[in-house]
Amino acid sequence: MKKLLASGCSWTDANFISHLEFLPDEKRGGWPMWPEIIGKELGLEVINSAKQGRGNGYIGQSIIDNIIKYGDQVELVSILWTQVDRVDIYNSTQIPILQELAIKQGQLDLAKMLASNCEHLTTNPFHWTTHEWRAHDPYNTWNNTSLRAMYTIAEMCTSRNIKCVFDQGLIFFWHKELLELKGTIHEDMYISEADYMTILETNVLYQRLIKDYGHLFVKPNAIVNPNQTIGYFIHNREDLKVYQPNSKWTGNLAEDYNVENVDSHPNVEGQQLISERYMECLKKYY
Amino acid sequence: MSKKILLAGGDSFTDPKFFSMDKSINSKKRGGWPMWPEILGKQMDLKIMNTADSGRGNDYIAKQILDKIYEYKDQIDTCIVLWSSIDRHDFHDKKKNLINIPHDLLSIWGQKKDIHRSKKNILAKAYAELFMEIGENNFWENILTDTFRNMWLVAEACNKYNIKFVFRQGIALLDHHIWNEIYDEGLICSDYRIEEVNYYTLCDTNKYAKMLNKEYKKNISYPFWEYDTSIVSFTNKYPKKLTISEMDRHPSAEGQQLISKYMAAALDVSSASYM
Repeated sequence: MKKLLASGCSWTDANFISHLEFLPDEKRGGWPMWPEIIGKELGLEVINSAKQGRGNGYIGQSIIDNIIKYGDQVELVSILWTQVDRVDIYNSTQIPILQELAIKQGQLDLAKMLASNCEHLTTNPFHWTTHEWRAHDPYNTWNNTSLRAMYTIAEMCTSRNIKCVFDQGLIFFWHKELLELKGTIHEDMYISEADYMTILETNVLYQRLIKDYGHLFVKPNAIVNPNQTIGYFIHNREDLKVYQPNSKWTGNLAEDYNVENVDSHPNVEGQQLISERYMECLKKYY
Repeated sequence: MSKKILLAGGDSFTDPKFFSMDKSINSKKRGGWPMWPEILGKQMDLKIMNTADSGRGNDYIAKQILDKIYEYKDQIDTCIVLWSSIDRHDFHDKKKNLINIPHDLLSIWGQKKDIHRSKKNILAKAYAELFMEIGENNFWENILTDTFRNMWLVAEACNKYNIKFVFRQGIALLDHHIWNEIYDEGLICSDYRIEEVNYYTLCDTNKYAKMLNKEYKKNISYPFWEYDTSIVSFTNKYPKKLTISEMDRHPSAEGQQLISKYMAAALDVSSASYM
């Protein structure tokens, strides 16, 4: 049976289960994720390597490894890319901005959870000296890692005649998160939204990706335009999320990231919607 | 049509800015000579694009090469990479974030006064602590796969754009002597200890290494994890002539000349597959 290779973060992870223990089990997870829905519709066996919390580096590598593993059996590669500021280190991932935000908001459990797998491997860049920060150039590095992974997968798929569709799940770089840290972090570590967009849009890999493979994206502008991501859409629809009662994604991050009361991962209907976006794109291009 | 490109990658064996750390010798003998890509590029009448940088690991080397291939594609005629060792890591793109695990471990724990390694390297410190305390799952398998996957991705990209390519191992893929020193000094938790024979088994059975051998045998020197296939194994045979000094075994000017000849010969063999 031909294979559908899928990968992503928690929005795709087949083992996803909400951390909200007060919810009944059937509301916490166990529903078909988007790869399963698509696989069923297309009659493909699903190989889903998505893992909660992972970054685009891991996502890309897991797909490459599976393209190699399954060779000619691969019919379709579908990826729901995640946010750019996740640093994959071996079996761990660091999410520096979110981690710092959690500390600022006093959500120490969240901060601890985000750091638990990687504090032993590296340190949060926002705790570096400004000299180290400048030397490491994190924003460019994060961009390059994600964009290179996307381009490499696109290249592999086209040269092997594998159908390939990308969508952006979480917002590629949600500047609002960083803005919340302004005043907390050293000013040299902060980048304005306009400056970030400049380094992204002038990035050679980005320009190449959009020129050569922009058509593989469900929404070609999703990397630079948050409104085009499926994440943005779901965040603003209460009925598509696991649990965020009587409230849309407010933009108040302390409230929206309240891990005790909120879980804005897509629910069963949200997963259905993601799969519909993919199917629409698949029908359009293949 | 403008001149086509010779794309080169590697670490200090290839870095055009290389300058020896051995201050005991005359500065003229510490660097500034043409490196092998420059010599070869001149011979082949190609424009040189050398992405090499001293101290770098294979992840960085591959990233630089891939980015250039994605950018210049058909303008590249030939790509040659002198790969580095597997135990160097670049967590972010800039050099300060480089970790050379064995050297950093020995330096941080005071076993060696390694003049060019900074004890202020925060990531190296974090690493040293990690290595002392707990084991990382499948550490050796992971770092081998990272390097072999990177090699394979570069090979695939070259193949896709009909770029002639040759890979050789510059320094040894893994220096067992230094790791044995680390084990013997107890500088690392026992979870990380790997017997040499098991290391070779991991290399032999790695899926990317097998594919490199199967699909690109003419382009690589298989098995590239064996010391004897590395450039350093050759330059070290004639150290007085081919290396800088007793303290610094980087290739000298003559060593670079020899590497360029060796690469030219390797390219002839690999190019047979493009005819």
